[in-house]
Amino acid sequence: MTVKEFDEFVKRQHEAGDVDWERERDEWLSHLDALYLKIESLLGKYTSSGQISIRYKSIELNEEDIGSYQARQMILRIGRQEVDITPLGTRFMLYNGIVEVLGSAGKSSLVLVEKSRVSAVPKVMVQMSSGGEQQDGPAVPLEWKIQVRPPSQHLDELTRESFFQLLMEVTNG
Amino acid sequence: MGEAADSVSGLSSLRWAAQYHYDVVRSLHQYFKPGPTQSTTSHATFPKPGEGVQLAAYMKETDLRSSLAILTSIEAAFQLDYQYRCRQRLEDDLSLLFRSRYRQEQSFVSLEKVIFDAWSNYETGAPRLIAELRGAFRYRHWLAHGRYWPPKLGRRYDFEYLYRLAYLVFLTLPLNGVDEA
Repeated sequence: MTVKEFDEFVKRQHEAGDVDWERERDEWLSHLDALYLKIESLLGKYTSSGQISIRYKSIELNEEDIGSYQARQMILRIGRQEVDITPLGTRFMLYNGIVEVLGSAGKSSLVLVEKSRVSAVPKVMVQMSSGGEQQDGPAVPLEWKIQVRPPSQHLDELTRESFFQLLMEVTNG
Repeated sequence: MGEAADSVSGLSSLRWAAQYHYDVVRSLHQYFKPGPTQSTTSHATFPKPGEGVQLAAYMKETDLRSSLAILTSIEAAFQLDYQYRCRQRLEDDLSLLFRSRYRQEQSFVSLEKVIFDAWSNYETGAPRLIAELRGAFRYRHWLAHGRYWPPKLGRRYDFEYLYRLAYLVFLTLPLNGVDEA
């Protein structure tokens, strides 16, 4: 342990202490609520006819800096199939949030990212990791997108068509 | 063994790991499909899954194993880079620090105590990625040492996220001696 390393440690802890983690958590949970509203809207035709049912379950998440908190898990019932839409958290370097979509035949994930972003590993992150500085600026609008499975790095827009396709893939439909 | 399987690190091994992972996932789906016992050849017959065995449990296990493979390939890349910088006597600050350790400890040094610390201190832009890797390696230790304790990770990890993280590592950090074939 050198003095330089200790300096860095103190700096990191100080910077982490400056962040309003409660506000970060609440913003993340409001994005999660917005996602659920969008899914409810996409499935409206099927829920109103009783072909698909939606229920919510409270689950506990525990994240670094934020600590333990409650979030909602969405559960879709499509006939005999069940799809669990489970928030994983917000403290990820690559994304502002991840929600896992798990069915009987597989899983996929929805990620919360800047609206303009189309890649799972975007250029701005590559520049930042290879020398560029992260700029503090006005908050950018965020949007939920679908991760295309590796090795693709593409993020798909969350639309009616792409969400229906995702549901069919995770349920082997 | 295919040619990609011989490579221990780098983007090519990462692509191969993804292909392998999703081929296994597809095979599991096939294996669990309802139907009669499947014969693959006239000499070998695979029985259907045992009673109580669930596809979801196999999928989870596959994700854990594939996650470990990704993390070990990251570890290999950093260790290979360390050895390359020392053996080739590179002159940049990071390499000079490694070379001083190499004189004392030769080829093996601790990934987290020596290599990650050095990258974090000497490579501009690396600290954030190294901090993310430190968290991921807590998961690696849990996986590699038998999962006999409840992990305190502060978040969930899975194959897909670790794949993206490894991709960012191989794409952005100047790791030497890593097979890019």
